[in-house]
Amino acid sequence: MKTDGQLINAKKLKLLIWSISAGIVVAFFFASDFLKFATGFSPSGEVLFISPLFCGFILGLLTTMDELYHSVMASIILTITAVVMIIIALFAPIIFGVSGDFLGLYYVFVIQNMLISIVLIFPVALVMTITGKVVGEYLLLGHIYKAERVALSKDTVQWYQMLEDATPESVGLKPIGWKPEDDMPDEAGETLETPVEAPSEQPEDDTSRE
Amino acid sequence: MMSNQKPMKKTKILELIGICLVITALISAYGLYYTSQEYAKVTETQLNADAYITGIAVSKNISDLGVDINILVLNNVSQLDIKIYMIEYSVYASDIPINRPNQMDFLGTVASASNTNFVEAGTNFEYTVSMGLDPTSDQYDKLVDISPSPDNSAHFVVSGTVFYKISGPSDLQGTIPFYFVGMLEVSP
Repeated sequence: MKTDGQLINAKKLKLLIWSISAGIVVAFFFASDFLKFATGFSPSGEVLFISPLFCGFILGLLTTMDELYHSVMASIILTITAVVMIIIALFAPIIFGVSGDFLGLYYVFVIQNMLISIVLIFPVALVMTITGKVVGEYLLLGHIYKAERVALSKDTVQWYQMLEDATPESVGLKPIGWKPEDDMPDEAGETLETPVEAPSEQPEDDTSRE
Repeated sequence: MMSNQKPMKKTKILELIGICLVITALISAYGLYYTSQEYAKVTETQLNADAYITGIAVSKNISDLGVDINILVLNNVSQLDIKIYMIEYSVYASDIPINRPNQMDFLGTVASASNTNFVEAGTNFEYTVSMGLDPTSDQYDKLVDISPSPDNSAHFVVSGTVFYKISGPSDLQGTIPFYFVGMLEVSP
C-alpha cells in the first residue's frame, strides 16, 4: 500500500492532517480576534503571536522523525490552511447569504486582515516548526545519536589501529614500478616476485652529490 | 533491547500529541463555524435594521406645545433582537420651501433615552417621541412666526438617529439614521 515512490503515503497523509489541524487551530484564534466585536469570545491580541508559535512548535515536534523539508512543507501548509480558513470566516456573511449592501470598507477589512494573517503566521510558524524539530531530535533521538557517535568513534579507532598494523602486502598494495606482467607466471610456472623497495634515504643536501 | 523500546515509546508519545492536536482542531473548527455564524447574524442585523418616520405632529398650542414624531423601527429581516437605548432628533423649520437645515430655523433637539425598548427579531416596532417647547423660548417665537394663521403650515426638516445594541454575547452598538423633509400643518 505504501511505497516511497507514491505521491501520498500514510506518513505524508498523517503529516498533512497534522498540518491542516494546526492551521485550523491558528485560524480559530485569528478569526476570534478579528471578529471579537461580533462574538462574546474575545481573546487578547497576544494570541496572534502565541497561536502560530505554539502550533508551529507542536508541528515541529511531530515532524521529528521526518526530514527537514517535511517540517518546512508542514509550516507552509499550516499557513495556507490558516489563511484560507480566516478568509472563509471573514466572508461568512456572503457565504451564509446575508442580503444587503456591503460597502467597500468591508472588503478593505477582509484584505487587511488577510495580509496581517500571512505576515504574522508564516515566519513565526516556520521558525517554531524548525525549533520544535530540533528540540524533538534532542529529546527523542539524543541517546540514539550518542550511541551512533560512540560506535563511530570505536570504528575510527579500529581503522587507525589497522592502518598502523598494516604492511603494503597485507593490504594488497603493489610496489613502485610494478607492472601487470610481473604477476604473470613465467615459463617455470612461478610468478616473478619483485621485492618491495624500501624508501631510499634522500641525501640531506645537494652538496653530497658533488 | 532497551534502546529500541525507548524510541518506540517516545514515538507513541508523538502520536498521542498528534491525536490531541487533531481533537483541538475539531473543537476549533466548530468554534470557527460558530464565530462565522454569529458574525453573519450581526452583519445581517446591521445591514437591514432600518427606521422610518411614520407621523409628525407639530403643535403651537400652549397646552400641547411641541413636536411629536412616530418612528417605525424595522428589524424584520434579522435573527437577533435589538435594544433601542436612545432616539435623538433635531427639528428645523422654515416658512419658505428649502430643505437645508443650515438655512432654516432650529427649533430644538431631543434625546429620548430608554433601556427597555426591545425590538424582537423578525418584528417591527413603532415609537412615539415628543419634543416639548418652552412657550417663553425663542424657538417658540420662531415656530409662531413661520406658521402664521390662517395658513398654519411650514416646511420642516427632521433628522435623527436611533441608537441600539444588538442583544447577545457581543452587545454590539449600532445606529440607524432617519430623515424627514416636507410641509406640515401646525395645529394652532
